[in-house]
Amino acid sequence: MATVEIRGVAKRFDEVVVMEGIDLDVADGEFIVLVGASGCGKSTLLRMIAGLEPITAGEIRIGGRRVNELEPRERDVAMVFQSYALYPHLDVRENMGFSLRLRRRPDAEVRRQVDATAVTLSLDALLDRRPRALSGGQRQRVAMGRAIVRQPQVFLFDEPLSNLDAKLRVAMRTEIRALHQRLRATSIYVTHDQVEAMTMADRMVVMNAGRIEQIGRPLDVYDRPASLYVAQFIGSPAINVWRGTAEAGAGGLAVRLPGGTVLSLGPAALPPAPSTALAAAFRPEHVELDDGGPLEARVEVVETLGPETYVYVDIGGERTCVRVDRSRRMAPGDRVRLRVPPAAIHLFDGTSGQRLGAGHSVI
Amino acid sequence: MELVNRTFRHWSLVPAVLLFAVLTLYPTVNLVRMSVSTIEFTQGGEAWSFTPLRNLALLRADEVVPPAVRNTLLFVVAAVTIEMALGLGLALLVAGVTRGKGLIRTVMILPILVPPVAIGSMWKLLYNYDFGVFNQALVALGLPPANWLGSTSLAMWSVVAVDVWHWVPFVFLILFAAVEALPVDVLEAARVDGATRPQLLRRVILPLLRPAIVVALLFRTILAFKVFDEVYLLTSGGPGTSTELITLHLYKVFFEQNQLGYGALLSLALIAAILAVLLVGGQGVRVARA
Amino acid sequence: MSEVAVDAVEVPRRAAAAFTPAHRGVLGAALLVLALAAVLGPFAWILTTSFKYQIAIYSGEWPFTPTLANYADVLFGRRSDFVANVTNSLVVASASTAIVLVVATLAAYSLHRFRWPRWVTGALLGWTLVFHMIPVMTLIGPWYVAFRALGLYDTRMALILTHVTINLPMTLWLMRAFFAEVPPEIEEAALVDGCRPLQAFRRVTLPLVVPGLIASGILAFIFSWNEFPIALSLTSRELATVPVAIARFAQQYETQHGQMAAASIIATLPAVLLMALGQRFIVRGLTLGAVK
Repeated sequence: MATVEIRGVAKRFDEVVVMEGIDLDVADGEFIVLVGASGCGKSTLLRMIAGLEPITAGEIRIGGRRVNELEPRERDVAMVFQSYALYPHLDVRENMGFSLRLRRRPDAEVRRQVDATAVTLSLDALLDRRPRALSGGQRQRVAMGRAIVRQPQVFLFDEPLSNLDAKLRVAMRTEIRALHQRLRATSIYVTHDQVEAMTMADRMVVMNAGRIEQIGRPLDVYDRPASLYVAQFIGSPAINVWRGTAEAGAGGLAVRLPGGTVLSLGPAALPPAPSTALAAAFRPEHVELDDGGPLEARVEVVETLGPETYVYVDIGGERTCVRVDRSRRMAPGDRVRLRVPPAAIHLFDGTSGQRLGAGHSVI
Repeated sequence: MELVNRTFRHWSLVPAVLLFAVLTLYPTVNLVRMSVSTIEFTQGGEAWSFTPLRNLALLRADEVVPPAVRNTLLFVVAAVTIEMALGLGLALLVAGVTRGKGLIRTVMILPILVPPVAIGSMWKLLYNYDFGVFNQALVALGLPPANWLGSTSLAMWSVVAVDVWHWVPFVFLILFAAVEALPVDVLEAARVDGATRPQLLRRVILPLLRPAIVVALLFRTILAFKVFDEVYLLTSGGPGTSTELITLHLYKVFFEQNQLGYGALLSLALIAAILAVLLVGGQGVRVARA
Repeated sequence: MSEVAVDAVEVPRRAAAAFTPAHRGVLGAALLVLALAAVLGPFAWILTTSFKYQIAIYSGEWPFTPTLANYADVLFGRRSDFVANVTNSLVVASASTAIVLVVATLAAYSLHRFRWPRWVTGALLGWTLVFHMIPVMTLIGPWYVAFRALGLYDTRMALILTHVTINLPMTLWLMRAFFAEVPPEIEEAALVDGCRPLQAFRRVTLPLVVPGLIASGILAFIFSWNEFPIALSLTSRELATVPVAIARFAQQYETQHGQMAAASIIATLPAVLLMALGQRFIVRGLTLGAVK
């Protein structure tokens, strides 16, 4: 069972504590994505799992076995680096067969493994080339091939697609996903791109400043972000955030914004005390155009993407993004009326950013 | 001024070419002329006589040449091997050091900047039989003092040791810079792939260092043939001919025996040998860079 | 809630961390200290010897009463021309350095900037390389003959010319490397702005390679100052340079060990001085030059 258990892991560099209290369980065969902004610690965590960074506190188990004191080569993990880290003095065949030769596997076996993997990754025509004669995408596949040949317990990916151009990235994303479906190997994937996280993960781990903000399946995290940070990080275009103070109104709870606008939240199970700072967030696709709606908006920018159109409007001083059907024509300066269903609003504490109450679910 | 500007392209190169042609090309041609002549300095000037056979005979009769050639080869092989090994070993082992790089560089540069003559005189004192620090240490340990510069078996190795002291720092600096420039993630990838430390060294680090090693090796080898100052100071070729190097012998032929013609012949032979080494070495570099 | 520093999470990855665990680091440090001691040790011993009386040297006395007599003897003694020797060395080194800097820099710039046909560049660079590799002693013979014929034997000019010749290859290659680091757009901008080639060189390029000039200058000066075989062969007593003087000390005054030590230390001083002042330049120059 190639499970990975991370318990109470912390990391300190000299005096500075960069990570604390990390708990995570990766199931056998699961594809887990660590996602977050640069500097959040996701790469550091990955390198601790690989054994390239010492673990300051806590424990990491791979396949049930404690690995804190083990060298990378003893952990039976394979890693795909952001820069690919191919051996420049070896050709593709030797690069992929490197680990097997280290273990003194017989030549025939090495050849067989390498050739089979090369075919899977469409590298069989490139086996005799040196890394410097390969394109970025080809190098990336060689790096993956090198990892696959080893048949390790766990695959580790450190932002492998960051150095590729956009189109190639999309293509490689699907390839990696397809590969995982075939190999069913436990994989831990690090990226700063939330689109990669959403499309590839069985489960996502959103990290921020050395802490785990939320763990969950992509759509669960999307639909029920546990904190304002997660809500803003996941989803593109970004979620709309309105900050204001709590107010008890006729229809129940409401948020009063600085500009005077009042956003009605409907009856709330746990109403926060009046005048508490609140952050109300709702996604562009949940805003409804309603001629009788309570919110008055003026169109500022219209972005037509093809399948859909995003309209940036000004509501009482708050810049808000609204998704509209492409059949709806709008121009800057237009005035529209909008409505935000209370069920679509995520409520967060204005100071801590933590999600408030179980009351608010999503459509 | 306009002419100067327009022809800047040309006259900027001319001084170097002219200087070099006059002071190197012309003397080389002269060498050939000299090698087949005997030159005597008289009151009026010089007297040249065409004596190619005489010079060749002198070469055949010169008993110092075979040991000189042997010693030079032995010296070059021994010194360069030890220097490369020590320099490389030190560079690899010191790679982990994080602080003090500036100090290291400063100290390691010192032996190259000191006049080689001074190095020779310094070590002559160090090797002194009566009060030199090495023999003082030996005696303090209860061992008999060694005749570093006076023993035919020991003298050559004493001279090699001085050259090693002189040049290991330089080799170290070059290789240290190369080690520091190794791509870190390739090394990490190898560790994850399962390489033990010896495997890492043999299969990844050394192959990646090969270009720098070859450059240092070639450089050092060619320079080792040019050694003169320290040997002149330390032993002047003695005792006997045990430390006679070809450059030293050349000096003696020219300026102590005053055999200018024969000396020129010897010079040509030496140049030819060096060029041969250069060619072989150059091929080696090309192979290594592939 | 304890501290979590967001910025510091970026990990500095060094080659050191990649393949040297903690205990190996101690071994490396120890070896380094040993190596440094091996380099500095001889200097230290000679330094102490230079301050000892002859008797103290023989007896290996420690601690000892220091004296400046050795230095006084070397510098001002009746049998010593050391001051004259220093003058000779200074004149020759300064003059040859100045000349070689001008000649080599112009040539290097010319090769770099003015798209000469490949055979020209190749010939000059290859030729200088070859002569750099050949032992100087082989050329001293014909130089001796030529200078004698010209009446230049035993003159400072002979030394200056030959020193320029042997330093030319290194300076040429070094300045080439430094010129290569100047972005060509800068010179092109100057030309567009109205400069002529010589002006562009003087006003724009040259100031940018000043560190290179300093590095090459220091190295050329040091190598000229240290030069021994040519000085030994082409000069007589009056024009002897410092290295030649040291050699004479070692041979004539074989029993005056204290003075030998003092002379060695004095000869080393310029190197130490230049190193203290221009260390950055020297290191860059030497390692650049070695990688060709």
